[in-house]
Amino acid sequence: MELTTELYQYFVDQFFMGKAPENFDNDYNLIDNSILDSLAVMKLVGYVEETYKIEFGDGDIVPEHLGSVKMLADFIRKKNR
Amino acid sequence: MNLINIFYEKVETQPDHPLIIGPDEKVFSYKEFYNQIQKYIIQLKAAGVEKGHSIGLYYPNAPQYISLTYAVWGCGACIVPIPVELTGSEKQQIFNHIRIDAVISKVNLVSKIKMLQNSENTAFSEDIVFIPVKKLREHPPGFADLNAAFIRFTSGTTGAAKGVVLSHETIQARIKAANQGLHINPCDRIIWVLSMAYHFTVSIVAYMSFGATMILCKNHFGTTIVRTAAKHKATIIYGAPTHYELMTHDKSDQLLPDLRLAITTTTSLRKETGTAFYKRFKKTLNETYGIIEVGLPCINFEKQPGKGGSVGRLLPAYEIKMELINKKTDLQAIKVRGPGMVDAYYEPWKTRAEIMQNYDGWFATGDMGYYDQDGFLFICGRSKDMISVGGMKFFPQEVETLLETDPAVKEACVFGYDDQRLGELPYAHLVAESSVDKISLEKTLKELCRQHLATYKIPQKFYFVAQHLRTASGKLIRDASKLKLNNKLD
Repeated sequence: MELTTELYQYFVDQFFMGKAPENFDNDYNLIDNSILDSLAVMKLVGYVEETYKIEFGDGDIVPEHLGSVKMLADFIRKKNR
Repeated sequence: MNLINIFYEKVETQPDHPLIIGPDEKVFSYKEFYNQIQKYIIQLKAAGVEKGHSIGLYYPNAPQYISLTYAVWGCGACIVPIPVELTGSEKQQIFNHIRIDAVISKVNLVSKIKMLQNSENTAFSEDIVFIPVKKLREHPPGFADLNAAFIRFTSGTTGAAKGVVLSHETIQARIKAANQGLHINPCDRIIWVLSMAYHFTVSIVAYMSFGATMILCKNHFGTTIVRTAAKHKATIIYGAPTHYELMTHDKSDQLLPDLRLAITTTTSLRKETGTAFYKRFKKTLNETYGIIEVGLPCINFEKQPGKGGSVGRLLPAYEIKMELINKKTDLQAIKVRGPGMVDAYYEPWKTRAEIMQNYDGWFATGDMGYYDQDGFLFICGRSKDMISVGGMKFFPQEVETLLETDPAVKEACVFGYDDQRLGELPYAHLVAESSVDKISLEKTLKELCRQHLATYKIPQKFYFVAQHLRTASGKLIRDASKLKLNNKLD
């Protein structure tokens, strides 16, 4: 499965209890829409590290990398390069 | 006595002092906040709210959460916090067990509680709506004798409900006792990042009673917390270990010279987080020992990192009794007493005297620990089975009871498994009917959990086992380190 699709599905399962709002797309702002509180950020970081075998270093856990599905996919791709 | 009167005194003495700076940087002074509360009191009274009522507050973190709470108190009613992340069935459980007369909700959340609605809503503003609900029960006899400010719903160890009742007098006693150590005053600017639905009494009420300023962050990323704290010259941060862990990931060189306390609560702090925070900010984290039935009896005020891992010394207003329970390890059961002990459990109804009488007037915390030679208390474990995911706590029995409603599950054992970032994550061991398709069952159980449990309670991994580990007396063992030896956990 394509990375963005995988991540999209992860958010639907984990943060929307299987029922995402109609406007949830890859650019949906996960921060302004209060999806990512501190607990959700940590859970997401743990999932990404385990699943995609990358490590979040200092300065990596920022809104610019986790603010949307697309931003997260771009960050993972960059880390894996 | 009503906590709102203490706030009114502060409004008199410092009307123009900033009380809250919102995530949008909007500043409310004490006087402006007072005006907002008065407006809500008029609206609540017009809607019929009066002494003896209990009002559910279903609202996210925002300045309005605080003003609505105080307005409900201004009507003589009490607050029942309803955390917004709960599922429909979890919310229903609160309504089944606690008498709730009405709910105040944010407009965009109304659809999530419409099943409880009794009659027409009243809009208080563009964002706030008042919803009369079907009253499913009456208060227990004895409730009217208390001057209740809060009923906080918790699920008990047997899966049975339990509401913790705190009166105005109790909360006042707690904040006075805590401030003998915290010394909160009008010069304090406090960064607030915790859920108001779970944290309010020995924190927000204290800040408002002692004239401090609260600052709400735009989001909970470490960088944002650091920038906000620096911008507003924060003197105190009140957060959970996850917030401090996130702050250590901020790669700027911004220090926080005005910060005098970095209070960490909700769950035990990993040593690595304390060390990383000290390295990054040259400040120790102030671990605390908070108990809903007691308040805040211990805070670690040590400025040097040597006492990391301790919840500090006992505050002067409290007493602790340690009872040796394991001679090999020196572990002792912790009992506490002091001002502001819980007023009652709501269901089954139990007064303070009844709660304490089994232990000769002490409150048995269920925690274990020891004192070091300098009088610092270290908490080493819980005799109860509570799981804490990033500070969000619940009893495994609640999840086990749900999993066992599936006929294919003979018996479930849910336990906390160490997680580097969140402290613990819930895992489940299941004894299933032998004929069942386990892949399909796991999928069904995940869906079941999604429907009935807040996200943090859902087991991250399901393992099928032949049988559960038990003590000699037949009690389930939920200690992950022991389970790991007997079953493959990764």
